[in-house]
Amino acid sequence: MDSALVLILLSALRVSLPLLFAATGGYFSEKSGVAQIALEAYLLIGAFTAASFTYYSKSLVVGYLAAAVFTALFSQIFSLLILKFKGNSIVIGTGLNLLAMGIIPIISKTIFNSTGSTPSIELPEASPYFPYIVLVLTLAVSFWLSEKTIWGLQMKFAGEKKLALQSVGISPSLRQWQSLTYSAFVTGLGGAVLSTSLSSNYSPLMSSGRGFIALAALIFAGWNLPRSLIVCLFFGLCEALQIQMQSNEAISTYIAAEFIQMIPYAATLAALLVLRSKYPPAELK
Amino acid sequence: MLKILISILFVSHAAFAAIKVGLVLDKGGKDDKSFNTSAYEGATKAQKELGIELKYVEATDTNSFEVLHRNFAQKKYDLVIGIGFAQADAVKKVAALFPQTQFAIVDGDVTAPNVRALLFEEHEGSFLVGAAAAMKSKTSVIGFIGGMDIPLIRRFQKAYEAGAKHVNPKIKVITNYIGVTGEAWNNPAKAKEIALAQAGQKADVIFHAAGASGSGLFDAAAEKKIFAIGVDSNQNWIKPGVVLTSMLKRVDVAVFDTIKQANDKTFKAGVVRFGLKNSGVDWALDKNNDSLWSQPEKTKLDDIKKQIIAKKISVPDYYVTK
Repeated sequence: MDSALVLILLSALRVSLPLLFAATGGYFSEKSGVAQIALEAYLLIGAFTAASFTYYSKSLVVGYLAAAVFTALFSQIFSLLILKFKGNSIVIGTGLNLLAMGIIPIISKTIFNSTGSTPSIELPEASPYFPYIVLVLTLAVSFWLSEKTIWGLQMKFAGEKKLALQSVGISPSLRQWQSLTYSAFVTGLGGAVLSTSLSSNYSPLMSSGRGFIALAALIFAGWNLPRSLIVCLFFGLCEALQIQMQSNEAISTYIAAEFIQMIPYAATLAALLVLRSKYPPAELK
Repeated sequence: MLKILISILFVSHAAFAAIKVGLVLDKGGKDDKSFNTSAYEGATKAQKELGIELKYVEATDTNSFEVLHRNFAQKKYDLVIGIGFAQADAVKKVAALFPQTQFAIVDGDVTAPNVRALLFEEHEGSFLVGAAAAMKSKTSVIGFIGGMDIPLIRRFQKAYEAGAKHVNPKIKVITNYIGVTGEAWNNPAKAKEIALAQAGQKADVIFHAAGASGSGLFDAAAEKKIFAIGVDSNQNWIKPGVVLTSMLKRVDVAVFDTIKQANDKTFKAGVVRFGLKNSGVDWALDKNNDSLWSQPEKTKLDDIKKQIIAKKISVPDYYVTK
């Protein structure tokens, strides 16, 4: 069980966990025709909410649920500005990222008298498998929603051809709103994984660009859910290898740490050249 | 009535006499339980004991340092303190523009007529905890997790390795850095991953110099039942029994002394160094980790400390020899 390979694979899985959630969330938003660069904000909001709720309730389930619900509520700002007031999604997404960075310290100041971080969570009997169970459930539901239901088809039509959807009497904005809310719901779970399972408290800006990595994986994999998840896993694998390589004396004496740390990004880019697709949802063009 | 009047007079007088101090914290934030927490504690101690007026800000990105320093200077703050190497350029620039304002910077080597540079001999303290790690390691493999890959953290790493090899020449030191950007100070998930990987390679004592990311190491150490060593603040309390000791960097003392001197109008510009000699750096022993150390081990560590102070052991300094 303790062989190096198993350790690397487990490590890869852990690293890619938040990415898998964020990529799934991003998929629903992008497929419905709304460019989603606020994944970073959703991860932060989810991470903070989960850490706070878990701290008080001592229950992971409560923490995860709260993260998903609050992130979905937070995303209503995004939906309102884009669907109702026809704002540009890139501009508003950027604004949302900044808002999340600013609003969390304000809230944490009132709750914990700290500027961003939350107290450590002590959950000795929490199951280490919990995030994986949530992941499998989320992926199953997401795949079913997008591929097996009429709703999924309509959601995609909102992103491909709004007219077709209108012609059968369904409002594209309604499908987009539902899709955007679900997107935030799922990404919020990714944030919960980050702060309660991969670490034991929220610390400021802890998403560290994971939202953008997930978005990149999604776009380069051609807005295809299974493919983008594979890219996320591949990134996680490279990151795990990078950590091993850096700590290996034989390698690190010859290659500077900066170059080793580049590997996950460079390798993912290279892999994406093979996987790339040129067909984004029509409404995104 | 008279009492109230007197107290009002007294309070307003005190407020008038007290200097205004601006504190610019680094990205880790005041609750990183490490470097910035230490600085903030020093400043709040000064606020309580000296009655100075304190305002602190946290930078969210590197570009905001200059603006924050400039704001304090423009609002006629008497003393502005920058915490962290990343603010060196900002302090240098703003100090030149506001020669009447006093500045201090921790970890930044800035020379100007109104700037006081507070520098720490991190290598001396790191050597000591390196020795401590080697004494406690059963597998003869220990780990180091650096935050951002910068010369300052390399200085920790190099001396830590030397300290470990001083006790056990055959020891193997595994080194990892979290990243090459400021985000590395705030990535506990990755720090935990690195610590698990190092534990997988049989490391049983791991030292971090990674600011707020360090909490990831403590989680991993508790999970894998190995030892961790904290940094900057005394982090022994975070996980008693898991945190072997902490490499103290008394930023709080440096900040407090600087504020006190500015308050007494004895502020002097120039470089001030804090080492083992003047207890600016040290290893932490308190009720949380006392049970982990036997008397002979404590004596041995204190002996090494004395030898470093007496310069009988020469500690390699990354700044001098790369």
